[in-house]
Amino acid sequence: METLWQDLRYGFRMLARNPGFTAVAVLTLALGIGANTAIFSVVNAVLLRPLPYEEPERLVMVWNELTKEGLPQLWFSEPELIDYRQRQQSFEGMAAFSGGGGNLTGRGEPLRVTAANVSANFFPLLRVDAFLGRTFTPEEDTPGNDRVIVLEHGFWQRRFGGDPAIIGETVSLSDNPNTVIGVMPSGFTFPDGTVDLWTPLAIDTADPNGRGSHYLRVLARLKSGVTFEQASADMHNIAKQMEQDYPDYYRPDRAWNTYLIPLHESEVGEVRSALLVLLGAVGFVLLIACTNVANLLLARAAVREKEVAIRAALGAGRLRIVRQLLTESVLLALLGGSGGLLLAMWGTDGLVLLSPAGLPRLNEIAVNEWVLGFTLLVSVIAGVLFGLVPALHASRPDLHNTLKEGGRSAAGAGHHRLRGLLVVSEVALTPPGVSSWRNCRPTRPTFRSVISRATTAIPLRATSGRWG
Amino acid sequence: MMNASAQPLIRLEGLTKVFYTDEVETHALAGIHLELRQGEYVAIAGPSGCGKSTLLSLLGLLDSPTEGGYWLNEKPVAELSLAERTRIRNQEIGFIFQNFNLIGDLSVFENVELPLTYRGMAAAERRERVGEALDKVGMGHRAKHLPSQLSGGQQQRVAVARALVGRPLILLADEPTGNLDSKNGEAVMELLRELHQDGATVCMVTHDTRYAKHAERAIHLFDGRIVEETKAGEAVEVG
Ligand SMILES: Nc1ncnc2c1ncn2[C@@H]1O[C@H](COP(=O)(O)OP(=O)(O)OP(=O)(O)O)[C@@H](O)[C@H]1O
Ligand SMILES: [Mg+2]
Repeated sequence: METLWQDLRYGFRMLARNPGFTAVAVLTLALGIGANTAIFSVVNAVLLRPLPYEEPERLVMVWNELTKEGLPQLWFSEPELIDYRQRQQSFEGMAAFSGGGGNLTGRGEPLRVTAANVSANFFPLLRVDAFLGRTFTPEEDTPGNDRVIVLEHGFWQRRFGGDPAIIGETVSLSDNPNTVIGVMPSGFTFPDGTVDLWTPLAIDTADPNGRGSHYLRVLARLKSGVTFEQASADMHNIAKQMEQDYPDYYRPDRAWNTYLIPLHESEVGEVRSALLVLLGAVGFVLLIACTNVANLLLARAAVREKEVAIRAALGAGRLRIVRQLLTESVLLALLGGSGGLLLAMWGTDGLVLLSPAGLPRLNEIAVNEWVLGFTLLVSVIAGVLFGLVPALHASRPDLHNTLKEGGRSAAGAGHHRLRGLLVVSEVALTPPGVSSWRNCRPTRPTFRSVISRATTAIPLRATSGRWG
Repeated sequence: MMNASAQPLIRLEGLTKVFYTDEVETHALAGIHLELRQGEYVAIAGPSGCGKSTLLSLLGLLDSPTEGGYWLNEKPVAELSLAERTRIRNQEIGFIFQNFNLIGDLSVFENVELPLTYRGMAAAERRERVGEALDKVGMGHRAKHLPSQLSGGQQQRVAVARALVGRPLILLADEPTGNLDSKNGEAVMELLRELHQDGATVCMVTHDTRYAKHAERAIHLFDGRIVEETKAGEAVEVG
């Protein structure tokens, strides 16, 4: 412990004595670690953190497919939703939603808004309550009673200045008067960040529209005690019943089937590999940064050869010397990591601004304790990584020659050339890094762009929507 | 001082060192036989390039011989592990260099403290021992200075303090006065003589015959061989 303290003190002194070297090394590392921290904060928010709903692992999206027709992703039609709701035994409930929108007037300029039309059990299934007012009742989810809207928090702030008196006020949505009954809590933007408000889906169960009009996405919550596999089997069985009950429609040669995708997978599945590739790319950048710093250290090791030889002559074992040099490099890496953290804090803001349309969970991206832990870990690993080779190299000095009068202190020119080369390759690597961030978009279109299609009937077509 | 019945502290038999550089072989030492006893003060003298520093490096375990045997305290050095060699350099040998070899980034105190630190000695005891050693060489008042803030003679006195702070079995000094003017040189020689009188075993390299006379015994090297040994001033032919 005391040794560590001594090594730390000496490490700080060495870094302070060589401000040029320290600045270059810390900057190099800050860039490398900062890039990793920034991307990790995205990976952490998007891929690793559970969805911000209660027991999110029990939320699933329900999909249909016509395997034999090569249609792997089909939404629900109204009659199908009614049938499945009646027959299923696995879910607390099945909520349906579709894209909507229109022109909002009242209190200011008319505005084109993006809405989600949702069934009354949509919010309860997600276990999210209104921040102000309330969400929809089952009665409001019926035709003729559905002139009510719930506002997204950010939209409420932007459009209505966060005025709580908006509750109970009537605004006009595409020329129909609607009463604002609630505001959702900040950060709740399901199905995605483009939503401005929610309106009731209000299906006419007495007179549903055509079985071929697949426009509803279905979200369900597993009952407690029911596994994903059991629920999947349940859906599969219902699909088979459908073939028997409506043979004209679900002909066996079309192979109708219903299956589940965990909500988390559905939200982030498509960007996962892109994000991981990106993380790999910035990892590679850090590796190059480490190589550069290792070369700086190697060049400096020649200068420090005498000091190390003196220590060895006085009885410092090899391990002791390696440890001292490693302490210095880890210290350097931690300084770089702190710089990287600062860069990442700005960087994530930039990433969010530059982010490809439709990247899910953007609002959850933050530099939090997980990201801090990651940065710390990466810094220590980087410090050992770039410090080990120079330390091992320096720990076996030729005592006799080094300690003689005017012992040699040659820094190979080779190092410098190699270093230059590495800097060039690092710079060359950056543009792909940026473009792969831009490529981190889901292959599906965004909510906004599918509204026009989603609001019209789509006869048995494989339309893959953003809300899969 | 010399005690014929006691085992020698250091025994060299046929010690040979060859340096290989670019297909050139330099025979720096060619079959050295030598015994040093506890409490002796021995000078190694000879012209430049005759192998004095090489011999001292081998004695101080800073380098290994090409051939021949070296027994330190009856233990064959060739059989020591790397860790054992390190421990012996730390505890049993005190080295003084011509160019001082102080660490520029450490204070006088920290430089002298190093051998004790590597020994794992507790901080309080280290402080006391370093204080004693610095007082002995008359540098107690400069403990917080950096080496660059000292004169050459002062730096060498600090180096002497560093060599003796661990109470080694033997002090090895390679031209300790080589970079000093005659006044400072005398002071350092006086210091070594005092240490010897207090019981230290000293082995010093010098090509200055005046300083060689300080020693009880002088060994004269030429071309890597011992050619002459003198005792307290008078010359005695060897072999
Ligand atoms: N690392 C080395 N590689 C090659 N030759 C060496 C090396 N070290 C010493 N020598 C050679 O060995 C011989 C003895 O060198 P050494 O340094 O021991 O001489 P010295 O007696 O100490 O001389 P000086 O009085 O000038 O210090 C010299 O010929 C020297 O050139
Ligand atoms: Mg010499």
